Amino acid sequence: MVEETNQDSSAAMQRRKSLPSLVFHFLAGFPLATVLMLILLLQTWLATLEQVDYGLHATLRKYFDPQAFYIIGELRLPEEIGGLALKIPMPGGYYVLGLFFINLLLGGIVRVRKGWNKVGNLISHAGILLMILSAAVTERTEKRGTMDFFEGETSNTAQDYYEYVVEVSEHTNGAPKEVHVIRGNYLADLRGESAPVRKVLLPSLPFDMEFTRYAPNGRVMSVSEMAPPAGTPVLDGYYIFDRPTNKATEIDVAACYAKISPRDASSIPSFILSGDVFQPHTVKVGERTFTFHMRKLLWPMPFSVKLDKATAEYYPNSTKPKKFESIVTRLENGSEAKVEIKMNEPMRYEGLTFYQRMMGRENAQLADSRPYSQLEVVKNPADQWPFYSLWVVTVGLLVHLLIKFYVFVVRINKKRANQPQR
Amino acid sequence: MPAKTHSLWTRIVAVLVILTVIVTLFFFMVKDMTPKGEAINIKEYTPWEQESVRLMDKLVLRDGGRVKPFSSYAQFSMLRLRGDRKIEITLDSGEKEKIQPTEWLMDCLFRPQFAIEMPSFRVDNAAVIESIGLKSHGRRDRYTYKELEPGVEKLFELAQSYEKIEEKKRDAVQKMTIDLAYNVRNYQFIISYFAFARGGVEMKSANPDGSSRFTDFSTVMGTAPMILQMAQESQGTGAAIPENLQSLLQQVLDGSNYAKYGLLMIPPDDKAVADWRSAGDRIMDVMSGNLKDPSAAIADIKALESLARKAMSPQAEFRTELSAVVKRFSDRATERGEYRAIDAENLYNRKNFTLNAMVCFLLAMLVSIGMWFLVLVESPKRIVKIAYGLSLAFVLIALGYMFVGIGMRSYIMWRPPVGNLYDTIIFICAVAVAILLLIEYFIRERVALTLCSVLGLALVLLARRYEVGDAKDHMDPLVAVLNSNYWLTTHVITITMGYAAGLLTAFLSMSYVVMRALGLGADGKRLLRLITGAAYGGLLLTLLLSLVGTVLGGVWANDSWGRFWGWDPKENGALMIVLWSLIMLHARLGGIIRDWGFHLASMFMSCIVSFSWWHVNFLGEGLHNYGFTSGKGFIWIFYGGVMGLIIFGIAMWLAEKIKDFSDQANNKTEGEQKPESVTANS
Repeated sequence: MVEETNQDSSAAMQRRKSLPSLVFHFLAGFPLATVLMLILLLQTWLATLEQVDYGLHATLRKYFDPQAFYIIGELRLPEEIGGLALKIPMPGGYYVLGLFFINLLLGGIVRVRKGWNKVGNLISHAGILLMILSAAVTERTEKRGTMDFFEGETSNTAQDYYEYVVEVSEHTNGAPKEVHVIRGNYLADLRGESAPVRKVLLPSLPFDMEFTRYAPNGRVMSVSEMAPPAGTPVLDGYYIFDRPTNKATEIDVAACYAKISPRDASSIPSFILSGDVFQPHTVKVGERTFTFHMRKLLWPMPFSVKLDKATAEYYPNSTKPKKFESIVTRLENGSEAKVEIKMNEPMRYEGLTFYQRMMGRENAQLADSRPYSQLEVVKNPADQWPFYSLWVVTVGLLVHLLIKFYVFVVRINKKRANQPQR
Repeated sequence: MPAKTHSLWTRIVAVLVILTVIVTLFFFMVKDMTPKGEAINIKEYTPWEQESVRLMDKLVLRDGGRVKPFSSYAQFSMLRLRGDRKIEITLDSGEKEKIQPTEWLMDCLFRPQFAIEMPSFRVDNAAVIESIGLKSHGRRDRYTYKELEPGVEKLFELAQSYEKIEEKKRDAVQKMTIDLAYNVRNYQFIISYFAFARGGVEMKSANPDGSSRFTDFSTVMGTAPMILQMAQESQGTGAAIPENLQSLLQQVLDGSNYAKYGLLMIPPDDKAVADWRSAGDRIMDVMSGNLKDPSAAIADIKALESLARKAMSPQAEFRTELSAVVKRFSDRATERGEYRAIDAENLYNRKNFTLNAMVCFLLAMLVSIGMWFLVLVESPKRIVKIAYGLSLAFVLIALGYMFVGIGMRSYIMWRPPVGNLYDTIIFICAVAVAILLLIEYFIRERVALTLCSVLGLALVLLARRYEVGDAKDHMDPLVAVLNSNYWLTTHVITITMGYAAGLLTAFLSMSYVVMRALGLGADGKRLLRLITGAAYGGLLLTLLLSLVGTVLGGVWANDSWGRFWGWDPKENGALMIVLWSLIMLHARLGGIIRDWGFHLASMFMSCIVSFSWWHVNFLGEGLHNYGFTSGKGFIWIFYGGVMGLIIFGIAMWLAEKIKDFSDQANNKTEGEQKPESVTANS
């Protein structure tokens, strides 16, 4: 079989003349496939090891950031032999995967020889393509957050996992009128020694805003607690201490310096916004009152969910969880539907999936205090695509394996029949 | 031809490789089966009769979230403390007796005066012993409680101070000190569990002459309402509690506290109550007035008292009391529907399936070696066939033990066979051996059969070593997120079979390299080609199982955690197996690698499988993290061994290449045409 492939390859080489043909055969070739998969293997391995030191989110951002054309992988040797960190340059994972998709499409679908013994190959290649496609769609479109509530409470919003936002709203009669949201992702690059400033125009409000020194995991500190680093602005005796991000970045708390620029040229002092502060910062501009609040991004649901009962069951005489279950009522346009959400049994509805994430009590020490449940809410159009691709790949590989097995057995029997008994 | 190309040194290296593997496996097996430490003499010690031990095994208790027989609890308690399943004792008569876990725990509970003289504590670093002011035996040894007792206070004090240090920053001695302190504390609870029954309660000035009288806890429990009333009256009037009453209450509290932790052996008589009770709990339930009807609890304690007091009596008398206790609690457990698989578990513990399989694999391996020797010296075919049949029979018996053991575990746990790391080892062993037997059926060249015994023995040894290192009951129930029979059956079994297929493929390639070095493929390349074909099939199977298993895992994760892929180390490891399989297949199809390259890459597959299956657990990250660190050194030895074999293979491949060039040059000179050979495809 290998010999055949080589003969085919050399015959094909004779035919390849034009540049497009050469490019096509390069992109569709086994060597490229092999090299790309080697790089992916190396990246998977290094990302596995690196997440121990740097956390998962940071590692993935490094290896699969669409803006990173190349990356420097790090392989830390065991402490027993010096703990040296070897630096390995390689192309960014995002582009390796993109090229691999092209290679698979051209080589595994377009160019591959068609015949009864290649059917399995073809099917499994198509399945892998669907899987990579689902990964790309997930990467570009997935939204992920949490919904927390106590028994009896209803919620119609989910809180984003990572992103902080600044909410600006005018208060009339003690209630917010309209909420303007400035996304944290828009401020995330305001870092570094140069302390860049970004101006955000708010035409419907009597002022614009300026932000600087965004800290993804900043802590508001008093100067009496610790002296600020040189050059750090101090407001009313407080400053933002820019801590390194946590390995689990979802527990990071963002903070930044904000300034209001009223259009009437009046002056309002700068202030600090932090996700750690539960009460919003209040400012009067003229006769109007505005609040500024930094918090995790909230996204509205197309329906409400009421937590009827949260059950956390443990194995007797142990703290080992046996069953976590939330019985909820889905409320939508006046209609109600009862649903049980358990471990491994999420609720899928209107493109959203609700998973059982955590359980607890208002006071962990008291067995009869109010139970709460945290559901993870995910919006992903490609949610079930891997499942479909699984079937395609399984069928393809099974067909391929059975064909190979058949050929192997036939060959063995033929040889056995041709040979004198030993 | 390979046989001609390889010089003496390559054959010597190949033989050395085989010998190293055999000697290593043999060494670990002998080590596994030998009791640790020297036989000790305990004066007046009489062994427990097997009838008593069997009866004791029927006693049930709740531990680790499930109801289990005494034999299982004893086994893992002994492993945790001593790191071994037996102790050798020299009796006064000079005979040697091996004490098994149930007997050891019976001594701890009923005859602590003997138990404290048994070397029950494994200490792997003498510095731990020296730090508590005691004299060590040597770098690593086992100690009796009697030896440790003078340093116990210091031990607890040190452990307490070390626990304040962040876990990751503790050094080995600090970790061992903490472990030893926990083990000693647990041991103290076990040996004093029946103290309430042995000592009873001293009733001060109870006799008319003012002297003390001793009575049972159960008798005191019968008067609990009166005692409570007296105590309340004293408190109500503000007067001090009478001295004799205070003494009685203190003794009850102490006795119940000693019997409170550890053995939760009493099923509640109220079916609505899920938690089982220890003897201490039961005493306090009555003494604190928590039970509406205390009669069952009092009778429970009375039965335990009668049992404990017969410990030093003739064993027939002890058994009478033990039968009563076993019946009392097992009947209650049966009524609650919690006695389902106890007899099966006792049978499983008694039959020791992995140990028997290990012995059979060893015998199969030894016979296989003999068989190859007979082949090399060109013995009559009939003798070779007998050796072949014998080896096959041993492998089949071993495989039978493995499958019956796995089936019994599955029945006992009432879930699919693979749910934790230990399960994976024995399952991989059984599956890999079964597939190798299938390969042997097709190729009938003795190679796969020999690999069955080597791989089988290595994996059973690994399972037993892991069990000792981890010292945890691997039949305990799974946490909620893993407790899904559907996913355990599909994803976990598929991915585990993928590991098995990957490992056996790598082993086939290792045999290819060694056989080529030994020149065993000389008879028309047939054998080597068959191995290559089998390895290629193994690779396809690895790819199929790993890919399907990985994607199934993703689908499960999507249902559990809301993401298909979470870059969990275990998931990544599985993906690496898939990628490496695909790389090998595509490189071979593209002509980048041929036979040599294929087998060298296939050997490397064993490193990738080991990383995914085993090594990621040491990283301490991810949702599949089992949180153990023992055996870290072993994995590096394994990597080293495989890399050594790969380097050896590369050297042989280069040697063949050089020889080919030189042959070609000679042929050209002689104007002859070189015939096609295996190396032409290398």
